[in-house]
Amino acid sequence: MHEEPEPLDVDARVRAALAPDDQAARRIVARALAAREAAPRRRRQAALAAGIAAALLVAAGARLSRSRRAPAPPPREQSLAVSGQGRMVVVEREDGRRWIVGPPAPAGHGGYVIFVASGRE
Amino acid sequence: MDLEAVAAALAPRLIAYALARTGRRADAEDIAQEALTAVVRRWRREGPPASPDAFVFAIARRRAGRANARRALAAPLDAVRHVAQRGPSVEEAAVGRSALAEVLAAIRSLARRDRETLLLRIAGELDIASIAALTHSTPAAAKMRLSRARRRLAALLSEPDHARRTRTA
Repeated sequence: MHEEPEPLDVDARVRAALAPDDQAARRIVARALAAREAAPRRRRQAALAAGIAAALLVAAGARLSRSRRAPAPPPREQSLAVSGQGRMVVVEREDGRRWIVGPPAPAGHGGYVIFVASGRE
Repeated sequence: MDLEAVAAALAPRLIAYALARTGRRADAEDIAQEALTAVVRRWRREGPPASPDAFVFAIARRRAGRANARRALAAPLDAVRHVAQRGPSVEEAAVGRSALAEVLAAIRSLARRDRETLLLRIAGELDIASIAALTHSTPAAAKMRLSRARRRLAALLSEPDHARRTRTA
């Protein structure tokens, strides 16, 4: 019948198996302590990269918003005034442009409608 | 507290803990390096943390978990590469022959929380209060886990053919 190891023997056995070599531990300590100089520079680089990224984002956003901006509004609808003078119909726009529509020509005389634009073009 | 003395005391404990968690010396040294660098920077920026031990082991726990998860994800690729190489790497072969392999195999067969408590105590050399805080447990529960893990580990390591069985499993 074999004896089971005591718990503290187990601790010692585990520690012995896991023990790192001194050189590795010293190397790690030295690198960690040397991180002092590298840290601020890395922070500066990170800040610079973040600044550039932010500027690019702002520029891209501005460009996107410009491209998405609503096109120029359609021209405002203008009201038309329609009046009749005898057999003539006069259509007048707000800006003064006027159309005069005459009666259809009698048969045999062409069958056309005179359409006259008056006012400024 | 002297930063260099604290770092020198923490480094071997961190490596041992990370080695037990990951089973690879290279990963263990990377994890220890990151944790130690983090505490050095924190120390210089804001002064020493309330508990440097708790600070570094909290980082080491997270990093070890990530390293294991990464390895689990890469396992299929590694398996293919392993087959292609027709054998273990030099490091794996060396580890496989050592007492480390037996201890690691025994530790891996413990329940996850028991194992974590045991490693933080034996490899990390943390006190029960710190272990309880790190494992989100109570000191009484941590003590119970530690005691159970030690008993189980002692039994496993006393089995003469344990290493052989676990190595071939």
